[in-house]
Amino acid sequence: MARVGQGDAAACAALVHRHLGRMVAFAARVLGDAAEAEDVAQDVFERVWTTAPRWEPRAKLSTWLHRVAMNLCLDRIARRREQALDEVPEPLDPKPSLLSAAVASDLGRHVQAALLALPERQRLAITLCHHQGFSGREAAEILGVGERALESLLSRGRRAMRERLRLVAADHVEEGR
Amino acid sequence: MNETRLLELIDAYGADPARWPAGERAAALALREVSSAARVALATAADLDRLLDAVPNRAPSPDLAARVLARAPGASARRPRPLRRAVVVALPAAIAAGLLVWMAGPTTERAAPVPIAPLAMAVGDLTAPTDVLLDLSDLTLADDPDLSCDESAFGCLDFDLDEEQPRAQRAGEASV
Repeated sequence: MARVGQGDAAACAALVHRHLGRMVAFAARVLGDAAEAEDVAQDVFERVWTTAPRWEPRAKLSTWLHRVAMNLCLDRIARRREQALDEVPEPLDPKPSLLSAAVASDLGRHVQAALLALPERQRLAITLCHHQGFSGREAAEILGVGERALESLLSRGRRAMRERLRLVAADHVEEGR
Repeated sequence: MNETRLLELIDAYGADPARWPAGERAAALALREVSSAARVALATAADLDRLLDAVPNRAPSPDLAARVLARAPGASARRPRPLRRAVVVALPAAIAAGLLVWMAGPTTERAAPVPIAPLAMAVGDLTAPTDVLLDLSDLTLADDPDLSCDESAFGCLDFDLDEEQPRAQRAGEASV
């Protein structure tokens, strides 16, 4: 980070190479939108560039990056919620369209939908631990909670997902065996 | 470590012991081998783990890294600036070319100072416009004192010091 702060091009490139993909993947799983995920990743690196000259290594860089990304994602989710309150909801189509049927047939998208349906902190906890590979202690640090609280978020999130995916999981897991 | 705690760990972190807290992992693994409740919980957790693995992993757009790096510290200094470079090269060249054209151009285009001495010599001793006119007709005021303005012939104005209006004007007003 010190070299990044000094404008070292190789150090900046190495940092982007190492962390950009993880930032995009994390934000995409939390937000469910690829374009927004890239915007978040760009914003994260804007923070990196401005912070690098005065960086003090109090936390692991990847932990700090995820905390920044998490806060940017939560800001966007809050803005979505405000916009949704202002908009009049469209009436639901009782019959699923061909498009939604095709999406439903895609296991990954279906699981992503179940993940996105979770409360944000449960979704963040599962994404940090399961997809981003953080330990419980690191994920708790990013979320700003204790380890027991993290475990509670994980347990409740996993149980809710299991319930949502119960029927779909039965079909796909059997196929996988 | 007891069975309740083991089930909590499986419920929270899933079936993969690598995700369990490092400090509790060994004891949990030992208990896992003898707990039937744990085996059931592990099977259920493994199903969900596999489903979570199916969530698509979004890769960045091909140009995203370049866009991010374009904003990195020092990137603006490294980035070529065509306009600034063109100005730096073109401005001195334009000044030099202008100087060359000016120095090689026709001398008639440069205004020469007007010589004053020859004009002064042609005027001679004549110092007033009246003197010039008299000189052309070989007349002098001293030779013909009647050459002054005659008010009756030319309507010259004759100011009377006692009256402010000229006589000719007074005569015109009387006739109206």
